[in-house]
Amino acid sequence: MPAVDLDLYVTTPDARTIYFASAATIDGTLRHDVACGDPLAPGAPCASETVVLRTIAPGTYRVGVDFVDVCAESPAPVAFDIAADLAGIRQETSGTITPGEFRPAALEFVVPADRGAAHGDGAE
Amino acid sequence: MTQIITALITILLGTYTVAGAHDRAAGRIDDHLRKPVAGASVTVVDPSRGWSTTVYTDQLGRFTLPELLDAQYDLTVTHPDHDTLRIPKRPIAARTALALRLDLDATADARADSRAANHWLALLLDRLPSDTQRRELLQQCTSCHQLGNPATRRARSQSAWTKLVALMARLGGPLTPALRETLPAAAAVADTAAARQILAQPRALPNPDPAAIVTGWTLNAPGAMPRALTVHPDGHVYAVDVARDALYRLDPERGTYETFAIPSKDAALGGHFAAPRLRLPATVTARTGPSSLDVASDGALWLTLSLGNALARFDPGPRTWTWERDLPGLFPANLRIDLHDRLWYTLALSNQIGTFDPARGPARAVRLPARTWAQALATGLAPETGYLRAHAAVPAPSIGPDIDRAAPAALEIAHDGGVWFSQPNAGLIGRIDPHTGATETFDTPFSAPRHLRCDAHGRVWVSDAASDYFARFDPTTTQFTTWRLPTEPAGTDTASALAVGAPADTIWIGGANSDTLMRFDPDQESFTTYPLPRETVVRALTIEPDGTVWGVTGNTPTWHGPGPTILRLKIPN
Repeated sequence: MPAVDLDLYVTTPDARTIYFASAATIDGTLRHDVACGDPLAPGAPCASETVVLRTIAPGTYRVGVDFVDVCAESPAPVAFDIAADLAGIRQETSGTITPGEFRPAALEFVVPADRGAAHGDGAE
Repeated sequence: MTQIITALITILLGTYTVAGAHDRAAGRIDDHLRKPVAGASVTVVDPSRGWSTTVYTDQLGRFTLPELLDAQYDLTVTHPDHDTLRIPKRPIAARTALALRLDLDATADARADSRAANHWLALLLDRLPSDTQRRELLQQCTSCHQLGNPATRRARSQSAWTKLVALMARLGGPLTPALRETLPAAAAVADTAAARQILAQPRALPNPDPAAIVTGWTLNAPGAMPRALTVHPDGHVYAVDVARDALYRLDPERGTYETFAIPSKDAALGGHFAAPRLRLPATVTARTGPSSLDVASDGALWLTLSLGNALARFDPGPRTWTWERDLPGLFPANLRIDLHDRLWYTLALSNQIGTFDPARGPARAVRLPARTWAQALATGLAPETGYLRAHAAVPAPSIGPDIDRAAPAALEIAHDGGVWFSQPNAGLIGRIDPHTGATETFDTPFSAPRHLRCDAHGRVWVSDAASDYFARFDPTTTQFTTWRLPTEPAGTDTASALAVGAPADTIWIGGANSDTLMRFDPDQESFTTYPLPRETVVRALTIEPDGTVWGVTGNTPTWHGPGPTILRLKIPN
């Protein structure tokens, strides 16, 4: 089971956000909202959430992290990693986050106009 | 269907005329039995300019568009009991005749989809066990977004609802434990086949004035959340964007607008209130959070910067900004400027009304009363508790509207100079004497008075955030007279904005859940309802002396509806 519940937020250039409460938009889909009590994937050291985008529009992308629940753990900061593969470019960041904290732009980057329109990329 | 209509248009072009439409495009809407369709909305959009216009059909199904540039337009016809008709890239020019046909044999699904959010909300409200919970849901949720629109009526599991409700509490809409417990089961009715069958039944129809012309200028600004607008004496219309730190200036004559970025220097996201646990919507990029504005006698605009905890002055000539940062309270929001150029504004988090005379300074404040000792304590500790919630790992507050902080919402200056305010969580409206600072309060006939305006006779109009009631308060008799919004089913709408203006103290109200703009004639006690595009929430209204109505629309979250738009509704003589 996941030690804590972290939620993934991906905001696309048209200002639509894909997250647990809006898991499927015209821009993409959150594959699964991992919550306290969910089983971890076999062999996975920790829980992860993935958003898959249908198309990559040029513009600014925001990837956010929200620490919504400590599950059964004590309320202490936890580490997170974000990786985004967009238009053939990987963007990565890491950090720690405290219970109740929301990082709306833990990772932010711009896809230039000549790099858009790829398919099947995502943030994790 | 589109192909049939296109053929009809081709056949009738140049042969179909409408009396009185000598130089403007016009047409008629019939149903499949060739009967005219009254009250339909006919909208043409020029996407290249972000411009649209909407007119309404008369009892004979006729409509006349305003003067248009010769161009291709996306044409849409909507009516509550019909399929929506969309014709993209339709060439329209002066004298274009449009013969359009709507299909009455809409499927149950199509009819259900055509319903505004409030119809879906009715199903949920019916399943809540008490009026107390119904009022709480309306107040806490519809102040920000519609309930029952496609985004909120999705079927969700109990655990998903629990998680969502917890998120809403962090975003500023906490629910009491009782409502948290009952909401998931009540909402299970959401978007089901049974619900769609119920919603397919015929409904009461709107009655727009067919002479009205609604013009819209969409702001090409993803993530924008405009919250207030004003008409400048020079004819420009200004609106502030709380999510993007922007001031928009529309030139209605040219149909173009400019964007002025509000300087935030090196402020962090969230501005003065930036903190790890500050929970803003994911799309927000604000450091200053402008939420209200007014025009001073010298033509300068003053803005409240809620997140910046400051006032800002914008001089439209040189386009320069100056700030007033030394405020005596927290979270400046609604702003009005009196005849002596003094600024009056709400300080929402510290339950105060601030005042600032730019010629004399410094800023001062009047402390407002609280309903209970608990509210007074909570408000007095607001800076400390706000800091704790933002920085410390304390549980999310499980508080509801009954024990929430007292906070001013609306503010208005009457013709006698009196400063009126509303306090939704205290069930009060009040008046501050501008000379002495003395405050007098009045219990409202409903629990959550929010939007508030004064008419030319010194009477105060106020709407309830927790129901479809609104009222007129006469200070000379201290009596309230109440009415309900005409939205059906009853009890499913609240006022998202309210304005009073010419002629004869006409009242205009935006329907938070019904995609409507409503005109109330106090003398006749009658309503005229103008449908707006689906998922449209009018955030602010103002009325010019000639009766022209201006509004600004926007959703929270922004992706719940169409792009934010500045609207103008005119009814030609």
